Amino acid sequence: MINKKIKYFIITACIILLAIIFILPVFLTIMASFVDEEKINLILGSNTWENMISPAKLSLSSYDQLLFDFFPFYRLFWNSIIYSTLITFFALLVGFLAGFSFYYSKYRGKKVIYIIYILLMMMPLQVTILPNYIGLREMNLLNTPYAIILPLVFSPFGVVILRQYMSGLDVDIIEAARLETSSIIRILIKVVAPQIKVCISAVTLFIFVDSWSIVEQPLLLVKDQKLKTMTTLFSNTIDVGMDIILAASVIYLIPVLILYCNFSQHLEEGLALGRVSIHD
Amino acid sequence: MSFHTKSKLCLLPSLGGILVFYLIPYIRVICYSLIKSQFKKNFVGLKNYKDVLSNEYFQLALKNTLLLILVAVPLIVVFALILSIILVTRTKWLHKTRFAFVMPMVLPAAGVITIWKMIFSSFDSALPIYTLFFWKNTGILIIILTAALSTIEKEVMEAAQLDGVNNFQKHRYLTIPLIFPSILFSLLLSIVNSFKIFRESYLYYGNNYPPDHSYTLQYYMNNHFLKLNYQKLSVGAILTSFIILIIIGLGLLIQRRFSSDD
Repeated sequence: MINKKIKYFIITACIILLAIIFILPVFLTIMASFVDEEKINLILGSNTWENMISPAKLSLSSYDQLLFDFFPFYRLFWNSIIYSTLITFFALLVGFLAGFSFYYSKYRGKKVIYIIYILLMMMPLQVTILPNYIGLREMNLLNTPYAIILPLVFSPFGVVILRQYMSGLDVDIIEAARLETSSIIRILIKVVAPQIKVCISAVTLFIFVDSWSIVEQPLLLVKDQKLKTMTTLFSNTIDVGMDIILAASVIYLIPVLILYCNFSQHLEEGLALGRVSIHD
Repeated sequence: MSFHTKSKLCLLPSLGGILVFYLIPYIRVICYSLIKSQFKKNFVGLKNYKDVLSNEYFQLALKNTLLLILVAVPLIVVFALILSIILVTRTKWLHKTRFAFVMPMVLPAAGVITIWKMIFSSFDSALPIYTLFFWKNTGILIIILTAALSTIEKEVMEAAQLDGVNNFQKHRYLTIPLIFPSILFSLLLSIVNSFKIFRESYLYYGNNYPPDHSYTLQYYMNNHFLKLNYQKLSVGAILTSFIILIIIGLGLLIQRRFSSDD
């Protein structure tokens, strides 16, 4: 019995340790943003444990420099906010309509189209960015905000997840609602949407985060510095000081952390990714 | 207009966007891969493919991606499976730690990349990229696997325990076969995700040229993007999509084989 208890204790300790390791990068980022530049340079200079844990003065100088001396930051931050909000809103709208269409309507070839959506969802950016680029070039949209927004609005991810979740819905509810009204918009808003609330919030969170963290699109699809996003700041530690970047990282993480803390439960229920399959 | 027609029309906005930004340009991409250059539009057949496949950087990129698939993907699935089994069978209290494992999935890598640079600044290996891959992708696997594990009926497990089966045997002969489809899906998803790790790698090495061990396919693509070399880019994109199609096809084949065994 005692043996079993020790085993139990060890496993529990291991899990907790792992959990701490997983949180550590976020914790360290926040910590590092509050120390002075000297200490950061010390760590970067020689990466030893003594340097890491040696006492450091608490200071707000990183934030001070970021907010008062580094004005491009405001532009980049604002761009990120605008892009992510617009992408999330329109992707959700388009995805909800398409997801419903896949779920409800019946016609030949629907399954083939749906398989194309799933395959497209699996494709990494190496594959999709060139088609995106060509499509935008043909429409003369390169180097405009639309270059970043439009391809992501039509990303198949939301469609697939919403449709997959809707497959658990009872069609009878919609048929019953059709007796009351013939307006598809009313049925979608009043009947379908409330049933899949969990999935909608999961998809909202996921799309927002996805568009909040885009790196390649602002790099390759727009040239104008004024149109870039915050993420371009993080790959570029040479022009901008490490301390400024650390402070910017914390500000960059805050919206996502707030969203995650509020929606984490929806995320697990709503994504239901394990259910993604082309058989049904 | 009937309700059914309207419900079909709901697909149009999405389908239109997919066609304009993904599918039609993809056909363009195929055409580009078969011609000599933007200015001399002679048909050259598979010459571009031969060039790219024999290019040492493309081979290096492919090798690194394959290494990630062969080494990191099996490890991450086993790791997530063990974690999920422990988390599902333990107390509610410990279950809360799941929060920590799932969080990196939604955290933008850009926000923590600086700390990664600081921690790994003296390492000269692909370790930072592998650890980022683990950190980022364990969460989604835990969601998938715990969802599958929670569908296993308690009675089955209790019956096994009454038969005197030990823990290891229980999972080996019951749990794993029962959730095999989800394990397969996890493998597939991790492979697909290993192609996406470029973003982290790019952020990590910035505009600098990455060391050989971390050179991934996307670097190859980015280089040619800057030079606007459509032919090389197209071939790269098509080959990548082929590799992924083959992997997904194999996965589905195994799944079908497995489900027809029941």
